[in-house]
Amino acid sequence: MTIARFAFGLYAGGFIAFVNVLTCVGWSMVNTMAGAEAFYAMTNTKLPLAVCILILAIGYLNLANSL
Amino acid sequence: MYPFFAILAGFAGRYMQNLPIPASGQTEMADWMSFMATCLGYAVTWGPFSADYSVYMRENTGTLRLFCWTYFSLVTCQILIMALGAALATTIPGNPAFQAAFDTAGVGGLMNQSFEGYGSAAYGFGKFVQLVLVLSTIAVTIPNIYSLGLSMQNVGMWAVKVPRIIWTTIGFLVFTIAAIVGRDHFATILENFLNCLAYWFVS
Repeated sequence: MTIARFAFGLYAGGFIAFVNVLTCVGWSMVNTMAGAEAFYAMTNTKLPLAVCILILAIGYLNLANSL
Repeated sequence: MYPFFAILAGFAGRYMQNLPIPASGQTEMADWMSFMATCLGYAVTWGPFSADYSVYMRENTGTLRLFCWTYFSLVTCQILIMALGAALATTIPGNPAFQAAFDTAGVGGLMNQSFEGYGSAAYGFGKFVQLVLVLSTIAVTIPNIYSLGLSMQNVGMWAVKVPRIIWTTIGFLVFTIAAIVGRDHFATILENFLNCLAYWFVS
């Protein structure tokens, strides 16, 4: 995203980067929901879907922070 | 991941049907075009992220080579997985067990239902395949969370001063709450989100 500054400048590049942040949040949400649905089915719907989402999301966050 | 998707396809294959193609016309053409836009939105999102990861390539890597890696990786995985998803969806019509599984747990329910009816050993193995497929979402979510921190630090000079771990944690809170709130409308959210992405990236 730093490369966007060559084309847009510092402030507009910041806007582009922020939209990219929104994309990242959206993709994380969609992928977490997809994984959680599979997890929910794997546990034979014994674990609530919200708990599945929370478990997976915490796992992702810890892995991403350890990079 | 391909072996596990192949195993899933093999177990579900017995229930898949060859559905007739509905009449062709302007409505179907419009549907086809909007689905293509959705697929484009799915693939083209890699563009902004790629800068965060292609720094690990050598700087004298040829452009053709880079293009081939990116293009064929995106295309092969997208076509195969989308075809598998479409094939899994053909198990639903006229099959009450699959319909019920889809209504309770979406595509995950279809995956679970595919391993039913082969005995308990196959069902247990199915649970293992499902676990691997659940874990495979790590590979698609982690680049997003990692890029989220890097992108947020590019928003302004003030944002660089905040450590990346704080930005990723804020992003985690946002997407987890959004996912929990919208958990019952996965297909709608995915479609609308991908359409928004296609508009934004193409422009």
